[in-house]
Amino acid sequence: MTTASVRSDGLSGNMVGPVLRAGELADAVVEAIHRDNPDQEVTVIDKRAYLRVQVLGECVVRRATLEEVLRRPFLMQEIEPILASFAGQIESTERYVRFFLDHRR
Amino acid sequence: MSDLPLLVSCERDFLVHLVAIPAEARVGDLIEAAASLVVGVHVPDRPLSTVHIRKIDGDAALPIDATVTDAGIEAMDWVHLFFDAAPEGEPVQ
Amino acid sequence: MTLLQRSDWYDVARDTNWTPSFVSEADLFPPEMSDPFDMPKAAWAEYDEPYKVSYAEYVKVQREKDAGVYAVNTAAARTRFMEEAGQRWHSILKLHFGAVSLAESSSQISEGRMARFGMAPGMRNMATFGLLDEIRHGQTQLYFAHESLKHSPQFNFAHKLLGTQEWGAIMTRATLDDVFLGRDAVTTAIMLTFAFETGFTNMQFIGLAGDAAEAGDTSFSNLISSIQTDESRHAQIGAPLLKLMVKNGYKDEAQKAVDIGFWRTYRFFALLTGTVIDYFMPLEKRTSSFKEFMEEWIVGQFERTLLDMGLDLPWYWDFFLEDIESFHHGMHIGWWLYRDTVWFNVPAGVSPAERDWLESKYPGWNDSWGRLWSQIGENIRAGRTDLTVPKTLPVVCSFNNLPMVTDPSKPWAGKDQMLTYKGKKYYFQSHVEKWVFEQDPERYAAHQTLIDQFLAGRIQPPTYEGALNYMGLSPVERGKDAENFAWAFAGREPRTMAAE
Repeated sequence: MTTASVRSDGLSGNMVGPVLRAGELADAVVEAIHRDNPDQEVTVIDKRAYLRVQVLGECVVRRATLEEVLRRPFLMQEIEPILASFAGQIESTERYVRFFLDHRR
Repeated sequence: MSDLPLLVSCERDFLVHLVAIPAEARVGDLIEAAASLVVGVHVPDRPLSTVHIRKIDGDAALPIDATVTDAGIEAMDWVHLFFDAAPEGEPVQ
Repeated sequence: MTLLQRSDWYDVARDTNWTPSFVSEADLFPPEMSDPFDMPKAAWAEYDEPYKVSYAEYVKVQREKDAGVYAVNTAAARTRFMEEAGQRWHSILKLHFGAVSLAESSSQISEGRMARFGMAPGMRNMATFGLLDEIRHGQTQLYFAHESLKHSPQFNFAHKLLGTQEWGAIMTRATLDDVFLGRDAVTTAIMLTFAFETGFTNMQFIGLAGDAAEAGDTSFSNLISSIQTDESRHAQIGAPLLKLMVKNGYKDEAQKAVDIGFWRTYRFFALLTGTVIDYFMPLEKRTSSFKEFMEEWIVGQFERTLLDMGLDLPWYWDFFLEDIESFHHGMHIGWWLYRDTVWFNVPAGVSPAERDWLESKYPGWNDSWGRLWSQIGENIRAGRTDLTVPKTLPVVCSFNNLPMVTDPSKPWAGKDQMLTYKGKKYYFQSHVEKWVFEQDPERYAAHQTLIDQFLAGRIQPPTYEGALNYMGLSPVERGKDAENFAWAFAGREPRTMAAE
C-alpha cells in the first residue's frame, strides 16, 4: 500500500476513487482496488477516520474480487455504509462500482 | 428628532458596527461615539484628535464642527474612521 | 426460488412516467415546482441515476448503518468521554447539533419536492430515499444532542435554535429557504444535492469526523461519517441532471444555479466548519487547517467534478480562492466578541502556540487578525474585560445575514458592497452577494435581517440586552469564553484574572 501525505494539489488533475470510512471492510476494498486496477498506481491517503483512495482517471472495484479478499459472499451494496464520499463520477451496479471522469484534462 | 442609524467601520478594524446618533449631533460627536467601539478596544488607543471620518465611498474627511446632517450624512449611510498617517505609513484602509 | 438481480427489473419498475388522464401534465408538474426551464421530455428521458438502489437494499443497508452508529455509542463510555472532553469539544458539538440537526430534518421538504415534482422517475426514486435519509439524520443527531443535555443546557439548542430569532438561526433559515426549501425540483437538485452535498457537507461530516477521531470522540466521528454515506448516495440526484442540461442546451441555467448555490453554501460552511477547524479544535488534535480541507474537498474534488459535468468554474473563483484565506477568521473573532449571542462557549483559540499555527497556515495572520487579538489580550490582562463585550450590534450582510467583515489589513470594497433598491439601502459582504441579489431582487428584497428587525422597532427595549432576549438566549444559555480568558495569560506570569 502506498501512503502519501496530502499535497495542496493532490486532488486536482485526474485522480478518482472512493473516500472510505476506516475499518476492516475499507482495508478489504483497498486490497480489491489494487487487484482490480492492476496497471494503475493506487494511492491511499490515511486520515485515520477515513481513507482517500486515488487512481488516475478510472477506479473499479468488483464484487467478485471483494468476495475473494473477504472469503465470503458479498453484495455490492454492502459497500455503501463505508462509502463516505468519492472523487469523480460514480457508476454503481450489482457487479462493480466504478469511479471515472468523462473528460480527462 | 430621532436618531440616525449608521454603519461605521474603522481603519485596522474588521467589522461594521451599527451606531445611532442624533441628527443634530456634530461630526466630532459621531467620531467620539464610533471610536469608543474600536479605538483601545480592537486597535491600539490613540488621541481622538488623530481620528477622522469620511464616507466609505468618499475620500474627504467630514468637518468635525458640522452637524451630521449638514455633513450630508443620512440614515443607514456607511461612514469610515481613519487615522492620521502614522509613522508606520499610510492608512491601511 | 432465485431472485432477479436488481438490474433485471429496475428499469421497468422505475418507469412511472404515465400519461395523466384526470389532470393535465402542467397541473401534475407545474413549472414553478418542477422544471421552470421546460426542458423537453426527450431530454428528461436521458436521466439515469448513477447510484441505484432498491427499496429492499435501502432498508437493509440503512439498518446496518444505524446499528453501527448506536453500537459504538454505549452510554457509560459516552458519559465518561464527555466528562473528560473539555469545553472546546463540547462547544464543537453544541455548534454542530444546533446548526445541523433540524436543518437536515427540514431538507426532507427538499427531497420531498424532488420526489413529487422531479420530471424523471429515477430522480423521484432517489429523492424518496433521500427523504428517508434526512429523517434519519434529524433523529440520530437530536438523539445524541439530547443525551448530552445532562452536561449542559446549551445542548438544548439542537432543538431550539431554528425556532428562535438568534442571528445564526436567521442566517440558517434564510440559507436553507433560498438554497433548498424555496426552489423548484430542478434548482433544488442543483443547489442542494450538487453544490451543498457533493461539495461542502464533506468537510463538516468527513473532515470533522477525522478531527473527532483524533480527539477521541469515536461516537461522534462515527455518527457524522455514517450520515455522509447517505449524502454521498442521494447527492447523486444532481449529477445526471447537470449532464443532461449541458447536453440539451441549458448550460447557462445550470451554471447560474451552481454559482448561486455554491456561494451561499460556502458562507454557511465558512462560519460553521471554518471556525471550528481552525480555532475550536484543540491544537494537538488538528489534522488540517480549514484552508487545507477546502483544498482537498472543494478546490480538488468538487472543482474537478464540476468541470467533468461540462460546467465552468463559477465566475468568482479567483475571489473565492482569496476569500478562504480570510473570511472565516472574521467570523471567528465575531463568534468570540459576540459570544453571549450564541449557545455555546467560544474558545478564543489564540494562545501563543495557536497563533504560531495560524501564522504557519495563513502567512500574514499575525499582522492582520493577530493585531486585533493582541489588543483584546492586552485589555484582558489590564483587567478591562468590559472592553471585550460589544456595546452595539454588528451590521449584517443584507443577503447572507452574517456580520460584514474584512481582513483588517485590507480596504473595504465600499461601492461594490452597496445597492439601493426601491429606495432601501442594502449592504453586502462582497460583490458576489450583491451579484446574487441582483439576479432576483424581488426574491430577496423583503427579507428582514436582524438589523432590519432592530430598526423596525421589534427588539424592545432597543438595547444590546434587549437583543439577547429577543434572540431567545436566557442567561444560562448565553456563551462565555470557553477557557475563562486563560489564553490571554498563556506563557505569562503571574495569572491574575477575573472570572467571566
